[in-house]
Amino acid sequence: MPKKPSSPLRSLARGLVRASWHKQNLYNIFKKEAYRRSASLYQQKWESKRETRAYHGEHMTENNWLGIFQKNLVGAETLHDKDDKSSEREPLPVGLQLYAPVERRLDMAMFRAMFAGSPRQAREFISSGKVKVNGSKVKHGFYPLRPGDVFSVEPECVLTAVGREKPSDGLSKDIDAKQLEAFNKFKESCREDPRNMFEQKFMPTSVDGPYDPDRLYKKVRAMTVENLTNKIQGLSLDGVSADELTARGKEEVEQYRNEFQANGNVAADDKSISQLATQFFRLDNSGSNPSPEAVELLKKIVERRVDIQQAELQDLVRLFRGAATVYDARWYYAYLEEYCGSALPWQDGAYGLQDISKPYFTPWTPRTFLAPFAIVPWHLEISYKTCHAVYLRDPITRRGHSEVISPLPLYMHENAYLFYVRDRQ
Amino acid sequence: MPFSTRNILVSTARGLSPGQSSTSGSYTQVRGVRIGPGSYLNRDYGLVGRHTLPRSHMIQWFGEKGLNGDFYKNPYCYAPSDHIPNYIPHTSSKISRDDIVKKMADPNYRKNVNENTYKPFPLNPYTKTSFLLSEELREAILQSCRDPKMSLWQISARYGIRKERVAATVKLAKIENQWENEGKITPDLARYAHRMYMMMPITNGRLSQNTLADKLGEEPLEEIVPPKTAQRNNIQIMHETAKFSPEDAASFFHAPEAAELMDRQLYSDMPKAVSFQGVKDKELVKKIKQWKGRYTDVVFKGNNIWTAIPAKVGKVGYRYGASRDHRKKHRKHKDERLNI
Repeated sequence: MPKKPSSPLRSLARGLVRASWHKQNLYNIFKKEAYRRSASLYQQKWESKRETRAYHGEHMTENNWLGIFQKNLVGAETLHDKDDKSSEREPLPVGLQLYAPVERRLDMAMFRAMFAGSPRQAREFISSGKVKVNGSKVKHGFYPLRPGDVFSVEPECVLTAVGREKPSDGLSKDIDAKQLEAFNKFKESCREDPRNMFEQKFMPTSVDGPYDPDRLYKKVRAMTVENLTNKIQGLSLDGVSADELTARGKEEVEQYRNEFQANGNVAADDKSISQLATQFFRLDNSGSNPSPEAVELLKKIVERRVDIQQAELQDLVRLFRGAATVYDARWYYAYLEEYCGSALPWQDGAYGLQDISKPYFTPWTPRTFLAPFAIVPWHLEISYKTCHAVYLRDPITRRGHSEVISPLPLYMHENAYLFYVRDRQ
Repeated sequence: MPFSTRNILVSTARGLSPGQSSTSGSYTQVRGVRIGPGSYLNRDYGLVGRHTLPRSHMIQWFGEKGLNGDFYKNPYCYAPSDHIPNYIPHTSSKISRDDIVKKMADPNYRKNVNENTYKPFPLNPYTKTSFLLSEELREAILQSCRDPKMSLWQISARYGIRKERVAATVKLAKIENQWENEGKITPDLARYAHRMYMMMPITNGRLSQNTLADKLGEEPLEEIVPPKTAQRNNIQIMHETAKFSPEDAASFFHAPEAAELMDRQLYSDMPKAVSFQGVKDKELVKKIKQWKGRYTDVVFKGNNIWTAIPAKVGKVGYRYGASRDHRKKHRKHKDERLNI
């Protein structure tokens, strides 16, 4: 009979961290803090054991765990580490090897390979015959893997575990009704004020706040030669660290200063303008230079040949932001009923029920709150296309790094080890 | 139910930070407060008295729900697709959810990639994520197996990936090819594989060393992991006159013999070019050149040169303190057997 959880799996009062992708578990991880209660040694050991066992092998009974518990904890050294006797060496977190035997189990390995949302769900897949090891079906979650073993899961199970929940017919209808209402409102506002809606859609908000054409206009108007020269004069090498400014960068800044002092003018280089433009518009696209048109326009501004107007400002912003579309008063026609029908253009069929025969949300999308748990294990090699994985070797510990994945601090594992070593003696 | 006017502690925690007490807040006068058995309904002021206080804090942490029920404003809701993980950040000070939301709104947030970006749990700095092999690296490894065919050890040393992982990659590639030919990879499965690949961090190993991920993804190849057989108590009782050879030791530890290891491809495939610029003794250089390439590589460590040379068991070293050599004339000893 599988072991039932001794305490609620997602209790907020206890705040125990579990091996699970549930969003409440994520909240418990976020909320958890490392503390050392001023308690007796036995109380500390007991609490460490409670916390660590809640994550590592919670689905195992205590006797099963004690059967695979190993007293000898071993770390790995490299050839160079042996000779390096400096005090700056990273510590060897051997305590984290305590729960390494649990990672050998098939259900735990499936959870680590992200084929199941928790070891309990993995055990369900295993007991229903959906899992094979080296080509043969294995129906027990405790199956201990050996280095070189290849285990595989049926893709439908993995897609159900990792994907969104399939909505019921009623829920799908409700969501579609809400989406339709919002979409109709959007189309109405497009008809009333197409220019404003275009800017909202294609001019994304910046860090400072929402897109404000007046503010940007003032900024560019202020971008006269005087202000630019002040900016260049203000570039001092004192505030900038040596790593940031290369030798070449320092030369350029000094060159500007000398030119300004000599001529009272700014040399309108393509490179210098693009550098200043990044400061002004806080561009994200590092590595890619602005287009030649944008650079030319800015050159003209710098040389006071163009008195920039509101409309030109928007073109400038568009050029620098890299928006592909040019404004057209009929830009929203693609969304209207007379052209695309009454269906929602981004959806084929009902919400989440594109293919009703599948047990998961279709078209397949990953479940929410998956990213904080997306850890690539060191002791497995995974193929997501075929839902196969290879157990490379038992997880080991080296200087500054442990292959055993655990959200809990090292001292908790060490205390738990002390608890179990005493028990075994 | 009796009501009264009281000064009540109103919880101002909008998004509880770790360590923050749930009873923090300010005092304010409230009318219509329940006293007596129904007073448990007073606790929630932000939400209608349906939830306990910890649960109401959790609901505030998740944030607003969208049309389809997603907590779309929560920074951890959606999976990224730029190979940069989206973990709970490592910070020394206590950080609240609102601070994280502000941080993540900054377009430069995901560009400040450092070692802590690849550590998923703030309480455990020893747990780090590994890296998937990028498509280029994977293709390079598979190409190395075809023509010209390199050995496992050579591929491992060239790309900075452990040999077990190289072998596993080749194995899984065969299975993928088979599935593609049989048409088993459905569109949903391909979509899933693509999303997972884009979400996880990738490395190019030693192919290119441009990003931090490439440097962190280079695995340590020179590790000594003590075999499990060597971790036990190794006491074997044997007769006084019985001999214990290296073969017996190998079978006891269930490990390959040293001679077998030496003959393996590792040593024959290792680079045979060794520079002798540091060595001043030319006679010694001549002798080393005779040994080079036949046994193991030559290692320069400190002021010494080390290499393995053939020697017979029983003739290596000298048994000091044997019963024959305890007299005064034997105290000065010069070993001439190795002829160095």
